[in-house]
Amino acid sequence: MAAVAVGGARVPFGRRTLLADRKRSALSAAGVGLALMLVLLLYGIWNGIDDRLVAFEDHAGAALYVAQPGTTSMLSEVSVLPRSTVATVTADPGVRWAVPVRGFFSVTHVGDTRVPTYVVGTEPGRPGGPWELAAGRAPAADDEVTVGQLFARRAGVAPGSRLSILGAEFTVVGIARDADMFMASFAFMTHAATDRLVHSDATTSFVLVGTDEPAAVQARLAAAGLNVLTRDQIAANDQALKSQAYTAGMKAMLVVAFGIGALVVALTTYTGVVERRREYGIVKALGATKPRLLGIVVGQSVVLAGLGLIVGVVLYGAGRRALEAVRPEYAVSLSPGALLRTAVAAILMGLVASAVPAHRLAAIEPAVAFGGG
Amino acid sequence: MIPGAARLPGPRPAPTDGPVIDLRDTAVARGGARLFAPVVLSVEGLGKTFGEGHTAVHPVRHVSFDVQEGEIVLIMGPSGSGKTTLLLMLGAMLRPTAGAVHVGGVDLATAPGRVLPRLRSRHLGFIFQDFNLLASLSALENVEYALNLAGVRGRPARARAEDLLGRVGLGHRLGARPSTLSGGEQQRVAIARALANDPPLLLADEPTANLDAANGRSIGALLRDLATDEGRSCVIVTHDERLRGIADRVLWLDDGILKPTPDGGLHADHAPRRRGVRD
Ligand SMILES: Nc1ncnc2c1ncn2[C@@H]1O[C@H](COP(=O)(O)OP(=O)(O)O)[C@@H](O)[C@H]1O
Ligand SMILES: [Mg+2]
Repeated sequence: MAAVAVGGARVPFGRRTLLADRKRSALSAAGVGLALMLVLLLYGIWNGIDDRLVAFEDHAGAALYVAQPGTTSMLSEVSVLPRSTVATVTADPGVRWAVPVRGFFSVTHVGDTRVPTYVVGTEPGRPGGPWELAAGRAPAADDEVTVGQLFARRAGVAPGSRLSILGAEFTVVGIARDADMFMASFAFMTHAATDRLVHSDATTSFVLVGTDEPAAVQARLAAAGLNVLTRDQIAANDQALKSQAYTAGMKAMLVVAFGIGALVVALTTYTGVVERRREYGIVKALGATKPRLLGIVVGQSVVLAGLGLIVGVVLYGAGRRALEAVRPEYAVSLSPGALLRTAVAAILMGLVASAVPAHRLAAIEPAVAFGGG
Repeated sequence: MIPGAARLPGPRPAPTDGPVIDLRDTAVARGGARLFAPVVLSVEGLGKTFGEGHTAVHPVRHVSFDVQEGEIVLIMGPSGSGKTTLLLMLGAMLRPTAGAVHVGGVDLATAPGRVLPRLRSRHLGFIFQDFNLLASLSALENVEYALNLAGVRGRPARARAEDLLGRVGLGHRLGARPSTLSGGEQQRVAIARALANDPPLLLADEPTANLDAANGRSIGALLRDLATDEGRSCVIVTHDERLRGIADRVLWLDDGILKPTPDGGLHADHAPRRRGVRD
């Protein structure tokens, strides 16, 4: 027989042998699937939190944010600027528009219900207001407020409802979509209304800047002594808010979930190798090389990880709906990139897991094939 | 091979007695008289020791013999006499502790471990007592897989596997799982698998022990045909007296040492007339 390697299909011994143990393979795929579901959900929650933390920046349309010196984010720091900053900024020839936006955390009272709120005050009709409405309209008068959907559901408010922020009474005139973060909901009102709430009509928090030449404008405004951040800088710093609360725990859970998945794969393939020790001995007696043997267990592990991934995606779909029903503040969203990363991680998990059976397989003597002789 | 023409000396005397006839340099004789048929397997002073000190066991001691092309050599002996240990060493699955085994141009005692898989897949064909088919593969795939392991893939592998199964009379059971085949059929698949990569030497450990008389007989006849028609050599470890009928030579292993056979001679008196008479 020709000894040269030629192309063409090979008998899938490893996969067949693995899948011959149907029950074990199914249980294993389910176990890996659960672990990957957890990974996907954590990823999804993470993504959802991130998305919502920067929803304002995503929709306000500003390229630059002027803030109080030393302040680098909207959500985790206080910013107070003289209102005159708006005029200073507008005077720059590269600036198309500049608007004041006031933002601060507060607690809204609706009857006995308290809702953590991030108050946003803007000039009616200018950038910074609610970006998408589920009902009603944006606030126009100084006693009107538009709140996030989740806020509305939690507090049971609708257009026409009354609520109280910092002791002032407001009428709900609109419900905004995509305006709830994991820790607070947006409440939009006029800038003038916020002036009353904080008893200061000569200040604002940020000046949002629309420009086609952000780098040049940023440089000029900075030279004039202003603290100017790009949209991306502000967004990144706002996303960092969650890391204080979530990053460590999330990372630990991700590691644990991957560890569990890898362990399930490793145990399954390892058990298969031990139970079918004789078959692997025969394969060795027939002349399987070390790379080929490694290929068998790597293939098995990757097949299990792949099956687990399919199960995991299906379970994720169900888990996501369940979670959003129970905890709507967690908008679970998964980008294709995150899915791809999880798939790659699952394959890597399989590769790591195959080290265990590979080690065991290497120790099998081909002589076991002669056990009955 | 021509029945009765090949007659080798039996086990050679211990190495200290010096070489008797060097039958290995027989290239000139290729195609000529079978007396000088090429040597496919050469065993010299082969020994195996397990353990050390006074707990050491020596299942194989000073075993020497050659196997020629087309020759069937039976290794018989009582249980525990070292037959399987010897066969494992011939099959590159157990390292000898003394002596040499020359097969496929290498000495199995000293060859580096990385060359052994290739040797097993291309120069040796194994036939086991328990057939040892891979349960999750069909008959066809069992044979095809052996080809894959030697680097032959795809259509050529499939075609050859089909051809081989046809030759052992199983052309109609290609897709059958081993568990649905009778013992005799399984052993035929195993023989087709052993032949997959056209090895010059077949090694069989009790190939008929798990078969009834009729199946044992036909497996024996199949091996004889492979030796006679294709010049394949075969070393068979067995208790099965019926297999004497197909052997060119019988070696008797007792306590790890080759001895004259209990019936008085070193050689099997293989001749066509003896076949059938015994069966
Ligand atoms: N791996 C081993 N370690 C120790 N002793 C062994 C080992 N393999 C075989 N033996 C011993 O070698 C002797 C011959 O065994 P074996 O070759 O299986 O004989 P047979 O096949 O003729 O029955 C037995 O006494 C057996 O216990
Ligand atoms: Mg034995």
